[in-house]
Amino acid sequence: MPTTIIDPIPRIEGHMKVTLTIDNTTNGTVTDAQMVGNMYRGFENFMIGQEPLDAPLITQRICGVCPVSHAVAAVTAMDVAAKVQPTPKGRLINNLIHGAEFLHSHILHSYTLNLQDYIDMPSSTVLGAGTLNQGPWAPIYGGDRRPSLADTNTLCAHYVAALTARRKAHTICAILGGKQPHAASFIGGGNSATPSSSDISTMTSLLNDIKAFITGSYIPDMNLLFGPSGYYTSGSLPNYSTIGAGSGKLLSYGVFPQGTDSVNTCLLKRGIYDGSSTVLIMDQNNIVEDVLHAWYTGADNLQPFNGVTNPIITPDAATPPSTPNPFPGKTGAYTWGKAPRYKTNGTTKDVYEVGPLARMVITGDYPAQFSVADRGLVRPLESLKVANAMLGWLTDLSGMLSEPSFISYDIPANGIAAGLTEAIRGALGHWVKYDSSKKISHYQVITPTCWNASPLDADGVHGTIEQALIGTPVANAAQPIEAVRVIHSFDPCMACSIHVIRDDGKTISKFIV
Amino acid sequence: MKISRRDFLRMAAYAAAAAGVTEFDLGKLNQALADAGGTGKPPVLWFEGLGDQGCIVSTANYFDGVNGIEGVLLNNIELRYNQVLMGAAGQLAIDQSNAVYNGAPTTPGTVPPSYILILTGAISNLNGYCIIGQDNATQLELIEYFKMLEARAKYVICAGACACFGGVNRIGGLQYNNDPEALVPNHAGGASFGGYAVTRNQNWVPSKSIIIPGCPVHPDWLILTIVHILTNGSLPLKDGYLRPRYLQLSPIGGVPNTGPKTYLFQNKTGPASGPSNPLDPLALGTIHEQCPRKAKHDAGQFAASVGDDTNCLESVGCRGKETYGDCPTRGWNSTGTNKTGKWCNAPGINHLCIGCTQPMFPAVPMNRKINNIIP
Repeated sequence: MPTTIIDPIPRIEGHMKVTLTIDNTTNGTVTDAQMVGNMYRGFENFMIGQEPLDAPLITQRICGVCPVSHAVAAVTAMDVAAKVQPTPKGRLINNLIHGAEFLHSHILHSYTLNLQDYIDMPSSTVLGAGTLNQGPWAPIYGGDRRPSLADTNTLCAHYVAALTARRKAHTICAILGGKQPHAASFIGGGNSATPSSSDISTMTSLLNDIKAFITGSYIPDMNLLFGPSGYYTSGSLPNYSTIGAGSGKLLSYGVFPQGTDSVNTCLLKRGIYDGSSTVLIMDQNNIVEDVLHAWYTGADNLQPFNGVTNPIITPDAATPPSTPNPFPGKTGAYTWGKAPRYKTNGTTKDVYEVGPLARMVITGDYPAQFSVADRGLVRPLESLKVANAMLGWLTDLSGMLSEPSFISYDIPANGIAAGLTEAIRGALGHWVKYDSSKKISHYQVITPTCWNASPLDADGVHGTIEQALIGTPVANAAQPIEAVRVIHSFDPCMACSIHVIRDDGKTISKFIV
Repeated sequence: MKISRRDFLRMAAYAAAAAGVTEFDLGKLNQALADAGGTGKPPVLWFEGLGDQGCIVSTANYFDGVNGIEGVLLNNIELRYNQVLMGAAGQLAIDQSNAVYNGAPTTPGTVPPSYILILTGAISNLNGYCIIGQDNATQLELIEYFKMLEARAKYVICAGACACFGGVNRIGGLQYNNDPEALVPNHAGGASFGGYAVTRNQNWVPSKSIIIPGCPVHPDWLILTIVHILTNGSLPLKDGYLRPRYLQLSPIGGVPNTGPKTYLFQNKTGPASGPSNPLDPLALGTIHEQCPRKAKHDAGQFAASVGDDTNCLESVGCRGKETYGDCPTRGWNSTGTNKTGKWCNAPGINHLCIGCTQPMFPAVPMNRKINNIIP
């Protein structure tokens, strides 16, 4: 059977490749899939020996699309280790910066990264005929582009408007965080920022602009493509509400705590959907990772507080290999990404999908449906929910401008904590230990794309995206646009997904970056 | 105070004026690099190495009061390769880059068309650690492919801390030396392209290269440097680290490198020696020299902890004294200019300048004062 390799996969974060086995060159079906993370960075090692206060600054550099999520995970771990609650004002500020990042990232994904898969941008005349028939918009894989010229023009106009909307979301981040990407103000115990009433007004104005975009363009646009009678969910061509189901199990750590109970007050709830019902409990002790099919040595089935990971080749920057060896030798391994799994009842290791669909189903705001179309529809809905909550948080914040933004505390010796939050594309955790001198002695990160783009686990079970790809119909195996749509529906971020080791080659780290 | 859309636009337009660029400038960029048979815009190939795409996301925030990034892409450059923004996947994507390379003269810039090559993220000199794609059956190591493209590029821009100096990839290596290049051995092999090339006698040509640091790069720094290149037909004057000392975006009478200066990385009063010499009294100088809290510093009033909303934060780790950049004057993310906007250690943010435009970045621990950091 023909094998099709897509490398690079564009319009994602990081370097990713997919190897597809398709049973026919025309009108075939994907019969096997391997997601390959093609980049390996050194974050995990960086963290060992660092001071905990630096963790939010350093770990934000894992991801330029969702840095604030890493900052939130890092300061959450700090606060939990010190058994300190952020001040109410600090919690609001953290939520507002994080919320604005949600809006930026969802809009970025649905328009800047994803829209070209569904509309024929080069044919659009809305910016002048032919203006989009050039890089970076053309060329692009062929395949069915179903929207009419009129709708294509509307969507192209919204593609441009989306750039403005997401830039405004970043402005909100910067008003409280100094700049974005890579905000400054996450210090633990709250936030260093002391916004003024003028800042509140500016943010409210920007947020209302973004909300108007969500309700006026974003929701209708995604309905046009993926709604009940959308271009990609009706008619005689393949129906994307039946394509790309994945594992059918969902997991969320919860995000946007709104009270001192940081778990049960989350706007988007913590829990799992186990395939038949939602359970509002997620125990991080039940998370394990396998490395059997990744370019690492070490044991499978390790909880992240105990994980040990070594890359298959020992890095040696001083004397790089003289002959190219891009395939570090380990039989059966094909990626730099590991395979996180959740033990549903404490014993059964299952594959879970993370992301906005997981959050919205577990929170009770979306039916348990699994497809490319559902992932497309749920992002604007979650965006609206977050934007509405943010308007409330701004009102709350305006009433406590003179209260303390943070509470100072001492880093505890031998502290240990899991900082769990949600990045825009899914569950994000930092597992941290401090040594007796209050330095970081252990730092592990499992990112959302680790979950979704994971390889085969030790039991030989595919990760969620690989499962979603298998069975996907492909019209032209040389340009499998259908597979790209399935992969993009998970909004993958490979920069976040690769583990690392110390240069002494022993201790580990596991950091997924 | 409620800011209306009109106010916001006016504020942003002011930001553009402060930068010395106007809509008119962007609209009339000359076509020194024009692709004669194509769109009439210079091709740009942009590769990301070991990085987080933050510089690409940051660049997408470009806004001069009239043009956003869409204006730049539609009107000023033809972005033929950028993994985050491009439509093409797989071989189709690599073909675009190859076509630009194959269509360029072997001696760069002698005859149009040629191209601008941008690197964000660090390179890895370890095989298999950064594969950017596949050309037919051949896996493309970033460093090998980038070296090939570099030979025919007319200009090479390294943007962001990782591409310029190694960035976060340097943590755990030599932190406080005065080494301008990231030659630090580290476990992932991350280094700047220049650092890699210099140590291995590769074809790194400083005269056609410029580095624009920052973590991430400020969108104005990158876009306006490209505007300078296109309007002047040459790179801006560089400091000892190859950073742009200042941009001249509106040549007078069409004479290159004339016109008002927009200062980026240029000494004002000191130090007396260093990469940004000579001194220029009109320059903005370091972050510290522009900081609204400088008076507190001079009066000896220092913060006891990060988050202090009044006093000088040097005592708790602010690197403003060792760091060049125009953050306080320019502001970030369209929040305002001339110290009314936001940046890391702005009043109301109360955090630290962490020195992200300097070779020593990130000098850890960042939340402590460290002596003898060399700017």
